[in-house]
Amino acid sequence: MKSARVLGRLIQALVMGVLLFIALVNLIGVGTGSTVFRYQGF
Amino acid sequence: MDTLTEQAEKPQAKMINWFTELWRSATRPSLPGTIGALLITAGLFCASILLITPGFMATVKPGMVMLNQHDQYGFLTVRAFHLCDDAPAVPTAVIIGASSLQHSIPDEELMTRMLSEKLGTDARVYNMTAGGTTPWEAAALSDFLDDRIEGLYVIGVSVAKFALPTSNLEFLGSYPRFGFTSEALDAELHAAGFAVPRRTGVYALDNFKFFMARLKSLRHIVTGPAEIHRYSTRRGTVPEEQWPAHIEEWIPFLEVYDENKQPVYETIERLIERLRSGGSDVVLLNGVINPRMMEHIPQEIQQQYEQDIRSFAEELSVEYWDLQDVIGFAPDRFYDRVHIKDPEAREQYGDVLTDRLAEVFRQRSAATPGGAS
Repeated sequence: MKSARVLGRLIQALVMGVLLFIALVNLIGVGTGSTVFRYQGF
Repeated sequence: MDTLTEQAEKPQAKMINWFTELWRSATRPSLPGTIGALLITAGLFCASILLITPGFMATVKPGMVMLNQHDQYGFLTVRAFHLCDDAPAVPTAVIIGASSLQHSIPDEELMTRMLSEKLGTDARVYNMTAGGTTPWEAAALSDFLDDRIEGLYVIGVSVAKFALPTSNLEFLGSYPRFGFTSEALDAELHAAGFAVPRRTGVYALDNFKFFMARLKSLRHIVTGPAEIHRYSTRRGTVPEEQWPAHIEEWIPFLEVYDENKQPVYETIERLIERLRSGGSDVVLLNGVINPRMMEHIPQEIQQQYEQDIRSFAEELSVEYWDLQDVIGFAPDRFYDRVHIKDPEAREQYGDVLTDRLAEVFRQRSAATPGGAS
């Protein structure tokens, strides 16, 4: 049972960690106005 | 019989219990899970900083970093790192300019072949053009490449580029389109009195906006790299009924030429000096304009630009070429005001351009003891 608990928390940490990373990167990207300009897009 | 069934059910029940516990611990909020998630997030940030380095950029395929097929600045950034990492010591021409020039020249392989044939030796032409490239970006890109590529830099110029206000430079300081920093761009910002972004010396941090805007390019790990589309335009051939508005919308940008030109000429002058001090030569290549558009550009602007650019080139002793004058493309060869749509016209332009490039390389070779490129 202990192995199931440890593995479960590991999966939780992994999924939440990756999602948090993506969310933070997007948040910083939006906050700093990071965007891909095409042609004379400014 | 009952004993046998019980014995068979026992491991099955054990497994169900194990998975139930796994599901419960994975889905219920827990302190170890939260701490683990924070550690993994921090780890991913650190890994990104350690992984995204100039060395990585020199090996990754451009299409893996590009957001999509139109992401020309993503493409040029990776390409610039590739060239700096592995530039052969042969006569090399680097073409830097905006979409007008991009649509005027045929693909890089054909240009390279044409130049090699005309020189009778292995040569390279690197097409580093991108839609909307400003003179300040041309300065940044040429400065970045000049460290490793000594040769001939063909810099695209046009009346529209000299009419750009310096507010564009200020904008580029805050929202750079290239994924590298350049001392030349920082110097331009400084000279214009704009804030120079703080540099840490850590590549991923100094260029984080470039990468954050391209987070979705991670999908290329699954879908494969994006392919650059060099000859696509936003709207294709302009329909006849839209031409009057198409002409009219450009005139206000050109009318400020006289007002805005001075700082841009100074930027190009510094670009030329920097490239020359690194042992390279510079050619200024005027962008093509559809004759149908030329008819509507006020005469005084055309004449003033023509006079300015020629005396500027003469003062600095750089070549200035206007191949539209030589070739004389008809209006039906264009999509719109400045973009050539006809592959044959591109080839013709490439042929004339490589003729001129070959001539400059011959002169360089004759002027250099040992005939170096």
